[in-house]
Amino acid sequence: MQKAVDRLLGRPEIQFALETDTPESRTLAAPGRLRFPLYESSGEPLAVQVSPEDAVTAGQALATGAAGFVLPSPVSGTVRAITTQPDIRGNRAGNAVLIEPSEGDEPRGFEPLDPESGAPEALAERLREAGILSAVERPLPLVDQLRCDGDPGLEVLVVSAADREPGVSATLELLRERGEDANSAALLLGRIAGTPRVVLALLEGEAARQPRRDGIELLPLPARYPETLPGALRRRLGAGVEVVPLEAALAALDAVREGRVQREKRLTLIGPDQEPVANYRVSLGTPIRDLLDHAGIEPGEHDKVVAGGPLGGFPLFSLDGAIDAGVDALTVIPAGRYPAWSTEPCINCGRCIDICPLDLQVQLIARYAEFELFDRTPEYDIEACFECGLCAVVCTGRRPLLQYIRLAKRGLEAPA
Amino acid sequence: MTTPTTRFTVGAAPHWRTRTSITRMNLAFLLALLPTAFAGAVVHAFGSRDVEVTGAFGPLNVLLETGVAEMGVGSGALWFFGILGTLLLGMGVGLAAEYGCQVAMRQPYHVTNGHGALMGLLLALLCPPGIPWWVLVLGVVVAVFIGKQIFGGIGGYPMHPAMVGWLILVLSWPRELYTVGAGSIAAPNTAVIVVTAIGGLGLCLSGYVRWQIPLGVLAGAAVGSVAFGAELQGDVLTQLFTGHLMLMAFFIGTDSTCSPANRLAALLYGLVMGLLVMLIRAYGIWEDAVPFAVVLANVLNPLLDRIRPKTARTEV
Repeated sequence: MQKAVDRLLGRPEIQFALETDTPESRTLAAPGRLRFPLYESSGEPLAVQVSPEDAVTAGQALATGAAGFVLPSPVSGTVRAITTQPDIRGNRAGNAVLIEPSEGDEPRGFEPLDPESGAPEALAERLREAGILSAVERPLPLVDQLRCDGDPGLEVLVVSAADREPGVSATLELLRERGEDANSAALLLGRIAGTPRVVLALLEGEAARQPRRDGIELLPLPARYPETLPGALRRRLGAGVEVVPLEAALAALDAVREGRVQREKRLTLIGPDQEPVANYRVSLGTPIRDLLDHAGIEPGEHDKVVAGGPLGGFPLFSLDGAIDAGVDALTVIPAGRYPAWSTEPCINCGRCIDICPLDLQVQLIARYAEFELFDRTPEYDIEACFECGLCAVVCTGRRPLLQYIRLAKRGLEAPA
Repeated sequence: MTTPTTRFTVGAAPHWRTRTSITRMNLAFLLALLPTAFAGAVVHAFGSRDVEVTGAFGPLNVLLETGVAEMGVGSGALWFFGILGTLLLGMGVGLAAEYGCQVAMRQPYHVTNGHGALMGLLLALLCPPGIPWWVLVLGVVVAVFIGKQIFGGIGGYPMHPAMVGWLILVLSWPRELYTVGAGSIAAPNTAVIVVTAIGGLGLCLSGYVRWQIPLGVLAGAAVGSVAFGAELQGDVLTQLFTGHLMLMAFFIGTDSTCSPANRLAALLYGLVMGLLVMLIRAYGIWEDAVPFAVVLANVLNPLLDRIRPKTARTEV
């Protein structure tokens, strides 16, 4: 009844509240084949260091890239093939290493270091060789983000222990399990980066639960989208801010303290009824198809399968892609569940302005972008937009506003 | 069933969105106008008839009246349907004119969003019940073509199309438009205006109009009726519940294309429009001030929309 009334009145039937509870936890055993794509997030191919039928041990480099980038094998096992695989972020398909993991105990990979007394350079080198990725907007080597190359611009290091999107609670689950470690990880990264200010961002409700540690500032955030997006955090804290997701920080801590390579990934599966089904712990490299099979979800013709949350994720055209360190959710959206984008012109209704967390003149920016007048958009502070997409969620004309904003940003970057 | 040939949809983020749409918005306007339309038709058809009120199909009605008089059908019922027919005629012509323009001008077809029907209905509501059908048809065609489609249709026009149509009619056929004493379909008496206000409040609840505009209009009109009180008859309330002020506050001034997008600007826009109505009522020569006030405020809209919130710039 309420739904019918809301629909009649045109009220948003989408809630922007973030999850404050976690659904059922599930662990998916590593399937027979794990897939590790051989390119960086920018789409640059990596130099492969193994060949089919090689035996690999955890931590061994599968491939290397520019500037010391290492893709380590998260597992021990046998390389079965090097083959093409679709990318899960809309980049061109590239090569991937297929590994059959071996049974039995996992070797540690590296010698443990002391996170509190080790030299920052040695700790940074560990993050590099363990291939720790930080996935804020897209996966990037964590060492680059910490600016270990002596760049003094980093003033605040934020470890974000808050999930970014509605429905997603994988990070929340992790924080509740490893609250003490979250503090240690934040301090470790602060040491490596040499940052004076280390902030642990978390939902308001979690602040009381979180153990306190000297040297860490807690930043409680409202449980509402888009308050927890990295862009929103940067805006809150000012210049010189880097945001590292909790899972990457913990992976760094494990690589240092235990000498372990990151092997596991947590993500929330949001099912066809748009409710979280479970929080999954899966092996890195697990094909998306295997995860959906385990959950008993079979997306059909014209459904959307989204790597990431429902508001910012990337839609997939194939289930052959594999889960990497940057995916914190998998969302399945049945065909017809949400209306498609339209070509209607902007009617100046102002809903986008009302909902924009930055009070941007979205309707003007989108109209300029629509007619490729990109150079008019900086006047309206387009660069401040952190792409939460709420404007497009509420647009009366069902215009693809986020797409227009990205188009304008791309257009501004391109040489004239 | 997922098979190797299953094709998934790959569309741009965000992947969730609300069901709001332009079609629903126009539907909300039309639904909220229904009570006004019915109340107006009832009052004109069954109320005290000082003047002959027949609807746009006047001659046809007279013919029918003589034909069915023996069957016991009162002339009031005929007139009731005659007036509803007038409104439907406006809506139908609005849709047809928009479709015709889009075909002729090779514009994308947006006719199904119902905006043409809304323009036709608003124009018909402002007309007297006895308006000749050809005047109404002409007015709606002009409204849709000159008022709207030559500017690129919905989203593009600078002034409210129905008001543009009405102004052209009133300048060209004042005698047909001002049937002495009849009043318009939308505003025969205070009761119908109250019904309009209730429908308007319902429209505000739908979220498809910015409530700042009606609030601004009513506040502006109240201030204006005090300021120009010497020239006006009746107190503030009388002025608020006279003529098409309520219709303007909720249904005409709130048209999103030609009103400001920002909230504060919308409030100012309403204030200006309300003040203008009273100014024109006090000193203007025309009987109905609303279309002039709307069109003047529309012209101010781009200027008003420069009053916008300070954006939060990032330092990064």
